[in-house]
Amino acid sequence: MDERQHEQLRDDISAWIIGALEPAEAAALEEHMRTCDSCARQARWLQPATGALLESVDPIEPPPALRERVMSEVRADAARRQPAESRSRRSFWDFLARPATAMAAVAILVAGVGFLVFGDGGDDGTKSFTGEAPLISATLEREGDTGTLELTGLRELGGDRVYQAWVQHDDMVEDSSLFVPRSDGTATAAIPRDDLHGGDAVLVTIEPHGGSTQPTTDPLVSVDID
Amino acid sequence: MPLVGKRDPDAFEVFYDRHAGVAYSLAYRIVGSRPAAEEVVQEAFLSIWRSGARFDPAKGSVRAWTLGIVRNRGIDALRRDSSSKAPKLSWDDDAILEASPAPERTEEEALRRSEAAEVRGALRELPEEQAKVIQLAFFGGFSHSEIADMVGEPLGTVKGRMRLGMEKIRARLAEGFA
Repeated sequence: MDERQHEQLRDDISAWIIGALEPAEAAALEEHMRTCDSCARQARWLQPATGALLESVDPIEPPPALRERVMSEVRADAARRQPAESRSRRSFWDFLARPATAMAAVAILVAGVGFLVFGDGGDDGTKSFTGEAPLISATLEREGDTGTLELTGLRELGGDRVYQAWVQHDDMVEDSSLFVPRSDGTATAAIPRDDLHGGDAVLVTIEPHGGSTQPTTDPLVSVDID
Repeated sequence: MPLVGKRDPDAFEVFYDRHAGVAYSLAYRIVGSRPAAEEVVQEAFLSIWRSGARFDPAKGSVRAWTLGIVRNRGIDALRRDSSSKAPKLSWDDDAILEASPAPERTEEEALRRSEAAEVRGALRELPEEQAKVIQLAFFGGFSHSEIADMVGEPLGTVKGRMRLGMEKIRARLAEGFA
């Protein structure tokens, strides 16, 4: 593109920045700016002028009733969300406080010590853990905030129950994916996008068909998230 | 802003109080009536609340991001209402002059209002034909070809006026209104 064409595009950039281009023209310009430093620089330079336009109107006092309507809706929505979030993000420490869970946690810890003593894997970007007897092993392969949990040693559950993965965040757990094992006791569970973000560990429990909004059984495995 | 993102109603209330004044003014400027402006602001703030406030600090200030959402909602409202008139074309239009100003709650707000007044001054200095096409696009949501039809000028002329006007505003900002 020569200088004359760039000069014409400068008109388009000003029109684009105030939303005056037709959608197809805007898309073509945006595509061009991905590879043209000169045009992208011009757009960046002009950007504060749109902020000035936004701020150029004198403040008019909005009616108090508007504030009441907005905040009433916000508070009602927050109240509606709270019970649902309490179900899906129950306290992990409450969960551990149950005697059966505490026993399972000890079993996992012991198995984890064994895992560390024997130094089984974990140096290739994956995290592994060995769970309850008969031996269940789990490996988490992480890519950013997504991951794949590979498990072996799982037993079949029948049609009325499934395995469910959870992500622990501090003292809370959030539900992730459901899965069933293959006939050889292996399984692969995808941990969806963003689920691993800020998480401490991935847990697996057995839940009723369709999954649960909170764990109803003790965790079988726990794999730390780095 | 992180607390707003976590849907903390108390934090959202602070966020509302900080930005609702200019948001309402902008909405009014676009849609031209108080009931419609209220609807636009309500829609915009509730969409921010419900979306979990997906604000990217790399793309500018919270205020500019919020006002951008309000503007988009306002333009959408204009387009939904086919009976809407084009926005008024003078920066000094009666509605703005007669509007009761919001109280200056803080020094920061007073400073912002002073800067906004400076910006309006810079806009008033634009030749009318440049200010007109910028207002029609930015506050009216019209495309350059629609504006060319409205003002009866060739498309190239309209785009040229937009560019000259926007570059002047930007240059005044760079001068710091000295």
